[in-house]
Parts: sequence; structure tokens; C-alpha cells
Amino acid sequence: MNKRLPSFSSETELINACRNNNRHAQHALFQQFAGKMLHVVKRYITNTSEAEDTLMEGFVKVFKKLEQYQGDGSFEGWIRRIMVNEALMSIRKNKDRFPVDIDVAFDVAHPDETLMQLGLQEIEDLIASLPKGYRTIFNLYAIEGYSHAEIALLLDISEGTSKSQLSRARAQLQNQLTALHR
Amino acid sequence: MKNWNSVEEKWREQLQNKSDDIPEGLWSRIEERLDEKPARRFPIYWAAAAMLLIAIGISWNYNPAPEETTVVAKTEKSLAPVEMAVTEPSPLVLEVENSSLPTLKSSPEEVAMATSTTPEVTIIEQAPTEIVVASAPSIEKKSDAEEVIIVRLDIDPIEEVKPTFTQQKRRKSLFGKIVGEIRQALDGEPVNWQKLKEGNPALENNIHNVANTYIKTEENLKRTLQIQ
Repeated sequence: MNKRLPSFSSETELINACRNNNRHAQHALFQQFAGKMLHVVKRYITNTSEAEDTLMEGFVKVFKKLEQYQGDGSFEGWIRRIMVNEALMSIRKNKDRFPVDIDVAFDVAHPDETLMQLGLQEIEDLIASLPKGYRTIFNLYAIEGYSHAEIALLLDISEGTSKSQLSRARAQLQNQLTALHR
Repeated sequence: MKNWNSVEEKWREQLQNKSDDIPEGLWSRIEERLDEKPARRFPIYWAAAAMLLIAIGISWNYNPAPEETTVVAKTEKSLAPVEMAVTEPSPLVLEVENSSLPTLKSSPEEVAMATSTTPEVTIIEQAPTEIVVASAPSIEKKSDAEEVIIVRLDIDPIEEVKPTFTQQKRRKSLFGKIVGEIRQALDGEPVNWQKLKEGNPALENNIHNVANTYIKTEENLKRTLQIQ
């Protein structure tokens, strides 16, 4: 971390400087997290331009709400949550609907062993190929580590819907992998 | 055999630290946004909030309070000295009598009857063509002829449970929460609508209507006042 932030000895110092509206510190913070956060946003918003706009809005919010960060949990995790929220907001603004309430649980077969062997790019491509609703819930649950209860609150759906959508997403991932390897 | 959790955990590890190239010019765009002066949002929020509060207040409180319904019926007999000219044949004249009617002009028999001291109702036979003029001092008439019947009907009012002070306070507090949640949603933060609905059955079906009304009002105000 200190490689990128030569003038700030610690994350706390960087955060305090950002709170004081130190533009140099804000730039340093942006440089430190922008790449990772862009990747996070792109998992939800595939359009590059929209993803960049969302990233920008997310960072503006990070700087404006920095006072609210109390030091509980990792700072990166706090920023990441803001970015995820911003991405979900962006999806809503574009009037994309989140899954409707279908509380039918799917029986998902055990995953194929080959899923464990996939490379990073293959995983990303596979997830990106999911429909937006499935992708959103799969990303939130499987990659970001949100619980079904948290997802239900975020997307204003029931927990059952979140579970069923995750099951469908898993099934579709499995099917797509099978199709690819034929 | 592997389960999905282990697959997802592995994927999570792989994806967590993945980074993309930062697009050029993005930082300068962020700087521009940070340099922007804060918009005059506060008064607009409060104006919109006030309008919404009024709307909600009217809709909740508009229930015309049933007043105690009192029907007073008065029946009075004619009090003033009356000069009644009978133009049509009238076989009988009913007259309340407790005093003599000295001006009554009629046949001698009738005068005799009229001057009789019996304080009772007297039936006076009268010739069809006779003109009967009843005239008496107004003081005397008022004292005995005034008869007022008051009928008082007390209809039980429909019981209106007026909100107590605590309930009103709770409503205002709820309103504040709604506005807070809407602002939170507009700021891109997650909103727990379900939690807001719980315990507030009135909001169960119209929470989004309330939110949309608030947002529309704010947009209209902004448009009208040309404020960003």
C-alpha cells in the first residue's frame, strides 16, 4: 500500500487527509482502489461506459461519506459495498428489473469437477454470460459474500426468491459449462 | 464430491484481487464533481417534505367530526292579538279562554257565553256570515298562550377515535423515517422497505406511492424553481 502512497504512512492517515478534503490524498486513495473497484462494478454492469460512470459516482460518494466510516471492518470492504450499491442503483436507473418473486427452489446437482479447474478469464466469461438477474444474485452471494437476507433487503425481494435465483444461476452455469465442453 | 460452496469460495479468492486498468480522465471527472458547490437541496427537500406532510395529514385526518345532532322543534301558538276575519262559513271557532273577551261582538247569547267565567275551552257557535274579531291585550295573551315544545333528539355520534398526541407524534416520526429512507434511496444506499412496512399496516400497499409522490413533488419544485 505504501508503495502507492509515499506521503501517507498509514491507511488511517490517508483517510483522515481525505476527510479534510486533501485532494492529493483523495487522488492517492482513488489510485489505490479504482482498478479493483472497476472490476467489481463490471461484474454487475457489462457496459464499459456505464461501469466507468458508476465507478465515478461511487468514488464521489466515498469521498462525501467518508465521515461515516467508523473503522469497523476493512476500509476496502466499505468501499466495495458502496460500489456494489452504486452498481445496483445504476441497474435500477436503467429500469432493469430484478427477478420477480418466484419462490420455487431448484434442485441443483453437484457442480462438475471442471468448475474447480477453470481459469480466471473463464470464470468471468461464464458469470458474464448469465442473465442480469441471475448474475446479480450470483455475484452478491457467491463472490461478494452477502447473505440471502442481505440480498433480499438490497433488491427488495424475498429471501426465497434470492435462493431460487441462485439455484437457477448455478444450474445455468453448469449447463453452459457442459455445452462448452461438448 | 465438491459442492457449490467450495467452488464459489475458490472463485471468490480468484476474483477478489482482480483489478482492471483505470480509465484515463476518470480522476479529473471526479475532481470536477468534488469541486462542485453543493446544490441548494436542503430547502427543496423540506418544501417537498412539508407538502407531503400536508397531503398525508389531510388524508389521515380528513374525517369530518360528527357533531352532536340536536333537533329542536318549536311549536308556538299565535301570540299577538289577532284580528281574524272569517270570510267563509265556519261552524266552530275554538278559542282558548282564560279571560274575558270584551270586544267580542256577536249575538247576545254569544256575548253571554263569552263573558262567562268558566276558564275552559268554549265552543262558540257562529253564524256563517258573521265576522269574528278576536282582540285582546297583548300582555294577557302572552302570559297564557305561549306554548313552546322543545324536542331534543340526542343522536349518538359515530365514535371517532381522534389520534392521541402520542399517535400523532408516532405518525410524524414515521413520516420522518419515510423521508429519510427516500433520501437514502436517492443517495444510492440500500433501503429496507420491508422493515418500514412492518408494523405500519397503512403503508403496506402504498409505501411506493408515498415515495413516488415525494420524488415527483421534489422534481416539480426543482423544475419550477429551476434549481439543480
